[in-house]
Amino acid sequence: MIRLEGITKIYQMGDSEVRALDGVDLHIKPHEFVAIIGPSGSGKSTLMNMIGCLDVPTSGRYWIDGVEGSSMSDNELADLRNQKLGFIFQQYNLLPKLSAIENVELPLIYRGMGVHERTKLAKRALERVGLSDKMHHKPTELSGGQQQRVSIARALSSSPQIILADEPTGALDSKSGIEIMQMLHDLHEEGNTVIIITHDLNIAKQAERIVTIKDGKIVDDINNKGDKEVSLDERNEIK
Amino acid sequence: MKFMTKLIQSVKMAMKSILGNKGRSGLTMLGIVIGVGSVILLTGIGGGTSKAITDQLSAMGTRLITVSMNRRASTRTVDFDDLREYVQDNQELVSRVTPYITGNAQAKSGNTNFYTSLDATDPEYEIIKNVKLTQGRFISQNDCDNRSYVAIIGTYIQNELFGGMNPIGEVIKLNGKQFKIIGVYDEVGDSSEASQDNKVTIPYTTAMRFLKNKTISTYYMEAASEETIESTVMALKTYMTRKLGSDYGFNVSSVSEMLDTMNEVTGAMTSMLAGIAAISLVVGGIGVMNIMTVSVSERTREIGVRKAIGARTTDILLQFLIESMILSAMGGIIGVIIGLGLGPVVEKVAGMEYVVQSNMVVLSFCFSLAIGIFFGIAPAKKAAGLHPIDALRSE
Ligand SMILES: Nc1ncnc2c1ncn2[C@@H]1O[C@H](COP(=O)(O)OP(=O)(O)OP(=O)(O)O)[C@@H](O)[C@H]1O
Ligand SMILES: [Mg+2]
Repeated sequence: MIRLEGITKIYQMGDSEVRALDGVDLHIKPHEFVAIIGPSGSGKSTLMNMIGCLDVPTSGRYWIDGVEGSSMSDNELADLRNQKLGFIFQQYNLLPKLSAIENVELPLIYRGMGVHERTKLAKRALERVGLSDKMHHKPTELSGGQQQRVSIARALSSSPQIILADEPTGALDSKSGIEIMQMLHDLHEEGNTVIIITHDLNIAKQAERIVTIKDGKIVDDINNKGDKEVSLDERNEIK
Repeated sequence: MKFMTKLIQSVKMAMKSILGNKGRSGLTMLGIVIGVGSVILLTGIGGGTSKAITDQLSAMGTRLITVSMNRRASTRTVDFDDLREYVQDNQELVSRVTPYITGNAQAKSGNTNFYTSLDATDPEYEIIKNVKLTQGRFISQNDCDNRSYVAIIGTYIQNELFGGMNPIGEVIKLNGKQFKIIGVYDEVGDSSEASQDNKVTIPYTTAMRFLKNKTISTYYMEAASEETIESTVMALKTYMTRKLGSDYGFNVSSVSEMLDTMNEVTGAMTSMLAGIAAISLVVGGIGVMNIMTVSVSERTREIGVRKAIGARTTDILLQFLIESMILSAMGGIIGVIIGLGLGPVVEKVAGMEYVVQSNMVVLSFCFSLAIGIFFGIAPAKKAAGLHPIDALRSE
């Protein structure tokens, strides 16, 4: 489904260069629930932007559904994001002037969907995250947890195959965090590929697979399906 | 279908953003409003002025031809008899001719005396110039043949000398000679001393003796038809040139010729005014570009979000382009309303005629739309060209 080979991302900062990603190889199969974990500045967000086709690597190749990223035009990438990917950001990134339902409808608008169909789908998505009663509220009139639920509704309104979440619980209290995680679990149960970025080991442990990244390199990639305990060494490394 | 859905959506988004920031949108539009409004207003005033002049000239008769001679230019002359003969022989071109002499005279009756403008002519003048009298009659052929001392007076003289009473049959002294008053002109000015109502008309034969003026330097002729007036003027010029042996020392002109010249002049004036007003329209456009540029950089993050969830480059381009178009179109509409609405005010307050130039209304509105597109392109391109991740990162 997603394959990265030798992905390197270098930011040029004056004379010095920052290797945000340094030769990352990663293969994510359909229906996986993957957590990407690592300390701050390790390159997690950069990696997610690469997977999400929001950014282009300095070198290396990547494939989404067998199509090579660098061969796609901007418009093809936009369509791919629109149809196959759903983003959930740490800062929600809802449009402040639009109501909850209008925010949820947005990806469907860019798909060129008619009014009736997209309102139906948007309502359904808001129902799923339990916000039917807040449909016409602006983001500023919602709590952080509610805003993140709206952004989940936006991500799933277009029924994408892959859900990408960059620290979705980072700005939330633990109760709202648990709710959000439950929703991601449900989405995974339904057959979606879920990729979640976090620096919280407890959250990472809920995933089937934990990829650890440090200084732009993948240092560990473990299968967590059998609820296997993460070793103490690994724990220390993460911190 | 898909495109239409997106287009409608873009319009909705643009309206939302415009209405979401009414104060700023209003200020942005102001430049366009003033630009379009002033184009319509100024061309309206230009059109009104042109109409006023045209009306005045037309009132003189659109078939009127003036033949004037410079006495000193030539030893040979064309006299009244020559022109009368010409009219006789060329009825298909000209139907009438009348001589016209002007001068001044001291008018006196009883103890009052003042200067008045005096002119002299024959009965044809009444028809050619469409003279209107309130009382009495115009000069007759008999008066001319007998060199009668009769006069038609303006309302100023009637008021001044006869206290507004019926002066027919009364006597007025012009340069010491007694004239019998046979008619009174309609009021054409405001009956003041400086107006055209301070005038007196006498038979041309009388004037030639009385003013010791042996030659007539001006003739009015009436063309047989308005359509052929240009060829009539040409034919008259040819005739005069042949008679005088040179093509200078005389002038043949028609009212329609003057009308053409006037229209050219007022047309040029109107275009100039429209041009000046159009500059303010362009300045308004720069205002739109300014605000759109600010708006794009303020909304960078929004653009990033839109791109992340699948907006294509063209979607973003369209969104901002439509926004600037709607802004200037709204400005254009308000400008049209103001331009049209100010017309009656100008007429009332400034006492000027106001004729809305409908083509200018359409043109200035289209121009404002074009400006919206032209000045909207740069900011819209900037927005559309943003890299999704850079846009998302911005604060
Ligand atoms: N636009 C940029 N310009 C320069 N350097 C950048 C840019 N974006 C990221 N970096 C650098 O790349 C490295 C990786 O950044 P990244 O945002 O991927 O970290 P992260 O793992 O997501 O950290 P956090 O947990 O704090 O979100 C950091 O050292 C960061 O300073
Ligand atoms: Mg990050």
